[in-house]
Amino acid sequence: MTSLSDEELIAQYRLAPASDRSRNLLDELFRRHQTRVAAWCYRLTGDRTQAADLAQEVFAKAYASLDRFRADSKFTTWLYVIARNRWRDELRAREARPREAPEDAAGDAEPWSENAALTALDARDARVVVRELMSAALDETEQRVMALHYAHGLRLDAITAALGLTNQSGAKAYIVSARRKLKTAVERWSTKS
Amino acid sequence: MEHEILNAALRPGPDCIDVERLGRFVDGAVAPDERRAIAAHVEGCPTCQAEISLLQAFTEGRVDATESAAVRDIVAELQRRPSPIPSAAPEKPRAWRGIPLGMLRAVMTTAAVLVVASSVYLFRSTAPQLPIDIDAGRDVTRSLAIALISPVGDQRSAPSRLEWQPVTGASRYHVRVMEVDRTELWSVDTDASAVDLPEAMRARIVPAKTLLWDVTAFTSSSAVIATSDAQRFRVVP
Repeated sequence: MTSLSDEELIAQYRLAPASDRSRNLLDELFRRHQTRVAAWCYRLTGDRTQAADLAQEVFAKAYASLDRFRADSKFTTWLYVIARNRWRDELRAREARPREAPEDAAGDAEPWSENAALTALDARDARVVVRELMSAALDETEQRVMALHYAHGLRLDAITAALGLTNQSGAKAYIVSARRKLKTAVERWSTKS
Repeated sequence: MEHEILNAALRPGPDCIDVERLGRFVDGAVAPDERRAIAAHVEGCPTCQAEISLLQAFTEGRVDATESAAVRDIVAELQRRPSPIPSAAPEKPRAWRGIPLGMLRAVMTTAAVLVVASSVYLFRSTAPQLPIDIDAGRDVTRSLAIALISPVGDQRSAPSRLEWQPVTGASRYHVRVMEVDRTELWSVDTDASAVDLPEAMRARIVPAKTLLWDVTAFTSSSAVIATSDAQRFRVVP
């Protein structure tokens, strides 16, 4: 059984879903991915109990949706999509709750968002401008860290672990550096425009 | 304010690739044209690049040294909790489970009445008159799905054999191996439910390249009786 790929375990499970053997096949499948899912949920939540709850929901959803797995991607990728969507739901629920103080990623950079030219833009244009400035001013890792923190809602230590950053301050150093560069880029842009 | 501006700038936009397509892209399971289009977007989109980073961190299963004790505890906790897989008959919930008990009783009572009534009818009726112009030679086919058994998904080495679940009434199977854009690489007809891949075909199964295969079952009169979905497989690099 251990020599079978994830997708082969599912194919064999589907031959006789109600049998004891099929339960063993699914046990083996889920057991293989427990550590991966647990690590991911812990990174996102930063709390063992919340991570265990989230991981349990991910596996329950995976079992309930198994009929829809079509093997046009790897099972691991499919499981990631389930975990990702579950986390997205959680983020939405958190956004609806009273806002917690945002994690202090600012470091010593001065705020740049009060820039008059930038705030005068409508949201769509501001998005384009900020993206262009980031693309021009930040390196690839800085952009990725910014996106993971500000768009995907990951805590800084979670980003450090997810990207395997080995510098001393991890993701925080990249955010501080990125914000400083972005401040300069916004000032240059507003002078020109 | 700054958090809001950055969130608005970096959150997925309408042109961003949804996570399922990104997953297939990373798995190498999209056709070349689609692959080029996705790659062009990802190259200029930090949000999609970040999503791919998350996916890769997940699939690699990397556990940071600072996380390992917590992850061990979480896995132990998961193993203590009830499994999501039902122990006796792991069948999916069926629609009738949501029906109130009273309605279920009424349905069961009606069914019992119908069984009794039809039994009485069967005992009293004579053999039915069959029409004489039935075309007894024509095959009656139903659309069935063929379960492909192996190879499916990531493989440690190039598979030497394709195997699927036999279909009752099938006298011939047409088997195809394809590129992800469905270009056929090899096909064969067989009456067995497994076929060995020739060396020439095996040589085309190179590491990291995703391929598809499918099977169509025919009756003795060459009517299609069942088909499979295309399954992907790939030799891990």
